[in-house]
Amino acid sequence: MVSKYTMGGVTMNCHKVQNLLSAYIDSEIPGVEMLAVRRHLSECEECNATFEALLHVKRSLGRLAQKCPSEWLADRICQQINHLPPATREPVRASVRRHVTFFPTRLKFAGVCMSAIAFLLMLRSGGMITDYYMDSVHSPIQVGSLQLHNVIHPFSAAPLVETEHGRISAQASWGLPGKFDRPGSTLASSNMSLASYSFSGR
Amino acid sequence: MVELSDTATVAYRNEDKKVFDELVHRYHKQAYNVAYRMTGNNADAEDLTQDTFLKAYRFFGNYKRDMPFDNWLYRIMSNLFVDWLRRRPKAHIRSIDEPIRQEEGETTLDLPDTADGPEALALSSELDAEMQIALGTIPKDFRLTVILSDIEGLSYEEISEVMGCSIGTVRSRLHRGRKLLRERIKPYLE
Repeated sequence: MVSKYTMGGVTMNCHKVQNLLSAYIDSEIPGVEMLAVRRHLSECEECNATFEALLHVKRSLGRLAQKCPSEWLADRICQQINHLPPATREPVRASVRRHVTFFPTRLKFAGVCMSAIAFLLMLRSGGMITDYYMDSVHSPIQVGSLQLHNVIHPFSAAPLVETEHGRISAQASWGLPGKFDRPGSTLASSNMSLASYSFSGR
Repeated sequence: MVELSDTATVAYRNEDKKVFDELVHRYHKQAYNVAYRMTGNNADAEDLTQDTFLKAYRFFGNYKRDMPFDNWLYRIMSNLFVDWLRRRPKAHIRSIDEPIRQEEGETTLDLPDTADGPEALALSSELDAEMQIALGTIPKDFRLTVILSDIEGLSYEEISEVMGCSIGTVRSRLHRGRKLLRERIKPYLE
């Protein structure tokens, strides 16, 4: 068994060659690898035997007789189609299809993301998101030395909190009592959800 | 690739039906051949072929002309075949004496004379039947990959489009499928 060598920067051993044999048979590997595999096969009986066996399988499959259906299969299918009720037909207008298929998938995805971001920013700037969370939190709430007026995006891992000192970012730690990072701060709140936040002021 | 005029692709029902009828007559034998190799018998192959074309007609408006029609058909057939497998009984143990359903009726597997050389066996109907049995024993993803590559002659890239996987996955499935087939039919080649 040939152990290993390098040709054209491609290192070949029996294990690698064995995995490449099908692709080699189908000419679906780069030229450098093709040459390296060919060289290996000329020197390794075991790998060459496997190559011959796989090639024989491929050729046998290619020689299988074409199976033919009943004479009336095509007509039967066409009759079935003719009997399909109109509701099952789902056409796509050509103009829409042309428009949709014109743009590559990546551009479509980017467009959808940007639209979603723009929509959220619009909501935010209009105060809709703030208003929503304002209604869900009793404000102001005294937590330590801070008065909390509003929690924006409480379910986010990094929500914003409006205090008398302005907005600060909060780090959520679910189910665990948090503590203030500010010197001298203590945590005291009857609101369990807020008690789980720890604040790092900015 | 199917050449369809711009008019034919517009969703006018009568025009669509005419075009589709033509496609059915043009591709039904090819589709049936793949269906037969996947299912292993005539009745299931015809049902699968019919279901494939019906579904293709239903979504004909979504067919993109940049993909060959037969490849698009294979993709539909592949998905329907998964459903077909789920509906059939799990265990399918085939006895060596079990009649094999073929178009010309039933026949039993007549094991080839191993004294014959490999060349003669490769052309015999017995090996055809044995290869079909072997195809039925390998995983469906390997089976379809082998059928599309070695029977239908699709490239790795085309197969990856049909099956919705990477070219590396196609390569792996094809290699493993051929190795399994080699083990299954090895006694008849030695």
